[in-house]
Amino acid sequence: MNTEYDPQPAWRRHLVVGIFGLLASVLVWRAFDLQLTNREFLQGHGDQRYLRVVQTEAHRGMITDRNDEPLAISTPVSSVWVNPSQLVQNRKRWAELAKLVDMSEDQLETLIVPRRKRGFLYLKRHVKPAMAEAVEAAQIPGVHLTGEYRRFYPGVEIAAHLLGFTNVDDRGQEGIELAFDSMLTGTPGKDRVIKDRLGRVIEYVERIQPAAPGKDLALSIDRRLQYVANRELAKAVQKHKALAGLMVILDVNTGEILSLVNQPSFNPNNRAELKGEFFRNRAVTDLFEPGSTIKPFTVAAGLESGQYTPSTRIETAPGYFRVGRHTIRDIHNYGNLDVTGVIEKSSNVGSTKIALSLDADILWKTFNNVGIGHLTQVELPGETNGRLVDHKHWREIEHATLAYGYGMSVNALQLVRAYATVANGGTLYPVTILRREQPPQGMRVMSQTTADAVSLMMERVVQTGTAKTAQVYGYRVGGKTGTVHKNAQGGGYAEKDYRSLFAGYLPVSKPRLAAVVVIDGPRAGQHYGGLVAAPVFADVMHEAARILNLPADAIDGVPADSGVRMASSPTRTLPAGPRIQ
Amino acid sequence: MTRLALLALLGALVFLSALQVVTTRYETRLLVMALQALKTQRDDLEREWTQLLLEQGTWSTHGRVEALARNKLNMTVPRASELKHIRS
Repeated sequence: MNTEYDPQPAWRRHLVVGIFGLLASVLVWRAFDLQLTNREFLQGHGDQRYLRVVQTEAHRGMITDRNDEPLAISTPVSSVWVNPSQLVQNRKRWAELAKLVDMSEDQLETLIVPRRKRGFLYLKRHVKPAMAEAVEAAQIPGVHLTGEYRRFYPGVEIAAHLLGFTNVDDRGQEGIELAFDSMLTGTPGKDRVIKDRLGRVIEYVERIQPAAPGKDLALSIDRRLQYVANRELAKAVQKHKALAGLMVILDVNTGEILSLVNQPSFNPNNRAELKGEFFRNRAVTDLFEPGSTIKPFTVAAGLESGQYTPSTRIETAPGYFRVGRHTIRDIHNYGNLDVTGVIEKSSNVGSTKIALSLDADILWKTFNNVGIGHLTQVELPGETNGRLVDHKHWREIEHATLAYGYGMSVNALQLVRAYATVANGGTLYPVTILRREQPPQGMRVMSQTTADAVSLMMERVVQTGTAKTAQVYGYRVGGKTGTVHKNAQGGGYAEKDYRSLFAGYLPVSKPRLAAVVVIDGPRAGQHYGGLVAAPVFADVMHEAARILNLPADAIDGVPADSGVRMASSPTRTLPAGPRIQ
Repeated sequence: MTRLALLALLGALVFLSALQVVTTRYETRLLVMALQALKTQRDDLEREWTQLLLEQGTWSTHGRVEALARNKLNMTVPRASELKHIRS
């Protein structure tokens, strides 16, 4: 053996091993780096290559009437969108595109050129199906269609003020659409899925967001009553050349609004250029002085106090009455009336004498208890609160004028609520625009005896008093007319500007419906509530009673023997039939 | 010898379960695709339903029905004198 044999120097061995060791450790470090440190980032990118997000639809909830008839429905429509950065490369097809979406080429240029760096731009939203098909067929690169939803109202103008409408992004702007927007709007669900080459979903990986479809909403109104009320109100407003009108029908036992209509109305499907004046839900927002329609409550205060009975006599001669510096007048000298006669003839003098003989707080309490001066808190936006001044601040003249409905203000809902309270025997129920699924909680605010007595007086008004035009064949009707001077421009009251009112209910034996009709500013000659507003009540209630199948309680003028209230047998017959157009 | 046999058996079982995993995976995939197809069909049907509801609502608008009844069919609301009340 040659002991001096040394094929390689040791350092060369060590160098190679060292280099390999270094390379190996670099690999190990890189492995650690990729697997541990940058894991999420790289995994995310890997997932992005084959995971997709899929949306489930959630359109706006439907609004229906109390019988589940649709009032507002969301329907799919197409919208055209473009990718401007892609579109600028296709300049030669712009003319074709402009024609397809009904724009001029210049308009298209001004729209796209400033945004040419962007990837998304709505070109035209909610286009007609014909236009959508044409755009689809043209297959212009960079131009796409997307599905959106649009609200349609099959009833058109009959419930326009109640429902309101939505904007192009399907958010509520007015009315119920606004008040219940969050409940009606749905949230689309998002799932993370794996799709295969052909685009079919093959695996659900993750639920990013659960779908929450928009909830349907059932209103308390009856579409058929709404239609009849709207038709008759429109006719009356046109006939009397009035500025506006409204009618509200309430279910006296549940407080549900069965109908609420305003004129002028509008078409929510096509709102082009309309002013806010058309959109105002006057039944909720407009305040007015109730005038003579308050007199039954003045009398109720007198009856509750024990100082009066329906037959107590009041001297109204000579037809006027001085309070301080003011004179309160009646239309005629009605002479010596009983309390029932004061209501029947609508005597201001009689009402004032009754009111002044009562303590201020008793009178105030009666008005307050039936809801005057209180919001109804109905679920519609924009309700204004009526005014009833605290009795501590009443001067004598205010105490007097309140007796016949001046010096306080109400909106139509507050007034019909007060009448419903008398009609159902003295219980105040909350007013609602939503269909009730359970009977409501009411509060007794008037004794049954007083309510019954006032009700019979109001029946006399319709039988022989100022509201004979409110008679409805087959039913006993109770109510009260009002003809109120509107406020003049510079303060005080206008000489010849009126509001015609009628508030009433039927059937008297077992009341079901209460209604208020207000005709604002009639200028075709007639202005008395009995001539302008009461006939609307009669025409609407004649059909409403038939639609709702209310049992008749006065066939051929003879009251059927049912229910609590029985008048002392009226013997005169009702007219041959209602006016049919 | 028995150890070898046992090993072979276990190996075979592993192999069979692997095949089963593949089969189950494949069947799951088919079911998920079917589910997605049904969901899409449901959405399409619901969309069609709202469009039909809208169409029905438009055809049955009270104004339209009343106009047709009065003008085309010559119908009228019966007068009070034409009504007969029956007491049960």
